[in-house]
Amino acid sequence: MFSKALAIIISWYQNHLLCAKQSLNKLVAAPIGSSITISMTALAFAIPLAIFQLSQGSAAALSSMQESKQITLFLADDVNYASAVTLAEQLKQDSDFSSVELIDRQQALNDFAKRSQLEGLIQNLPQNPLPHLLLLMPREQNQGLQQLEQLQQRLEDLNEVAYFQLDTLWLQRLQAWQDLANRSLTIVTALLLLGACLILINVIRWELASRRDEIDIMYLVGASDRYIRRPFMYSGFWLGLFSGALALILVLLASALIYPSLGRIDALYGSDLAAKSLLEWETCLIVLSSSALIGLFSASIGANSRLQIR
Amino acid sequence: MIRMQNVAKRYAQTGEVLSQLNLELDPGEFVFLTGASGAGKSTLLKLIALIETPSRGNIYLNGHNVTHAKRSQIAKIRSRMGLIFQDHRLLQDRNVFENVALPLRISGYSQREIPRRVRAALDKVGLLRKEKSEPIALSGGEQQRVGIARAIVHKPRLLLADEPTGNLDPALSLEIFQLLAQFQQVGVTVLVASHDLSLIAQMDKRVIRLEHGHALTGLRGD
Ligand SMILES: Nc1ncnc2c1ncn2[C@@H]1O[C@H](COP(=O)(O)OP(=O)(O)OP(=O)(O)O)[C@@H](O)[C@H]1O
Ligand SMILES: [Mg+2]
Repeated sequence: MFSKALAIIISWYQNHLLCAKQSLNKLVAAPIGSSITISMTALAFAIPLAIFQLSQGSAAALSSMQESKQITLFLADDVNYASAVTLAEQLKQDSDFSSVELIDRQQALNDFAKRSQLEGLIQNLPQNPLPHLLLLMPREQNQGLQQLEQLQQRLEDLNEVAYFQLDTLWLQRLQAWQDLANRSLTIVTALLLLGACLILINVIRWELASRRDEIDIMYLVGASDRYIRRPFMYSGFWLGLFSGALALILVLLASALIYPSLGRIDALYGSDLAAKSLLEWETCLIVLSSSALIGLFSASIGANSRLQIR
Repeated sequence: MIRMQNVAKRYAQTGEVLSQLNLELDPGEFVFLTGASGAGKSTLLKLIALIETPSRGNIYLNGHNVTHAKRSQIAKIRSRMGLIFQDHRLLQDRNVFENVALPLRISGYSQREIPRRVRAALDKVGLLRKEKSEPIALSGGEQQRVGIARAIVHKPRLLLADEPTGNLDPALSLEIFQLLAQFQQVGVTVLVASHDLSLIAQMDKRVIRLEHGHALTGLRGD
């Protein structure tokens, strides 16, 4: 009983393997047609992938411009140095911030005096007009617009704080641009993937049409729709997979070409675009598996649209 | 094995080809189907092979009503019968071995089992030495025998042949009929459409004649 089931599974597996091999051989036997199809589909995969790769890098670069994320807390006048230190310590314990710097009001005044060369004037002031300052740097995961707005809420509730400066406007602008870029990328990707599907569907339909006689004979011998469809599904799978692989190669080549320019930008901005432009292996896996799936999907649509006729 | 009850078939263009047809074949029977050209012999075989659906009436195979079988069931039922055609219907891009192996591959036989059964079938039709040949490289009689090997390789209980000797000379035709008769001896039900009355007479089997859309049964070939 068990061994019979095992034998069925083994022969099922062998038959699929054979079918996959035969479909692959058919593609190799028509190298020109296959490579044209694969190139077209690969372009449709490569363009959104390249844009995605670049936009990821630039988003990371933009958000790495740290200065503007710093929060400046102006403590109330009646907060003395000791309580300022306590507050600073408290915030340092806090996991929301990566760095907390206390600027003593006296020290700030001295610095200002030195820099402005108004020492005489300043020494004559009846009292120090500057408050204690705390410079806070939110942790990386807190640097999104939403998280910063939450932090803002929290800081407003602190009694010691007179007011504070947190510039979210530039972040809002950045996010608006990113939003636009993401939406455009999504649309472009959807259109190009649709194009890739249509190319594959068409190729499979032609393939089926050219083998109509053979298919009719197989039906007469008792083949099911699924059996007839199987070699075409494997063709779609291979076409998709190879297109994905070629798309990766194209993107790799493209990033090799623009690598030097990215290095220059990095040097000027202190960003790491160049490193971010490299494909990660997770991305490669995702591209390969989704391109193979797109191939399968297109093949099933192409095959069904032909087989339903009779 | 086969029972047809009040079966009618009309084509949109040609009108009614079969009407009120009743027919019964017992398991293990060998029956010839004759009639003038256009009498509906091929149509009748197509109805049994579920290639066409009847306009009226019911068809039973092995006691099951298959008149309105679903697409997936049709494939399964057809994969259990053997079909032989006048024009052989071989796949031209595959060799003899692969042609004969087709029904086994469709039914999912293991790679180990397939060569054994294919060679047994080719041996039965006397073409063991031609397994690597391409179909075009064979004579008409040889191609027909490949078609027969393909029809019996999976040991079907029912064998349907539509003018299997249509293009062959009388000696070869008789040989093919005798080959088909051998399968009856191992219990296969065989239905052969043919208008070669003199050959049919030599075989001494039950003959069903189609006339005006009805089956006139029980007649002998003489
Ligand atoms: N698919 C079809 N569409 C329309 N009419 C058809 C179709 N198939 C067969 N016919 C018609 O049905 C009639 C019977 O055809 P069929 O092929 O069954 O005859 P037959 O007895 O096999 O003849 P033959 O001995 O010449 O092979 C013919 O008049 C034919 O024109
Ligand atoms: Mg006919």
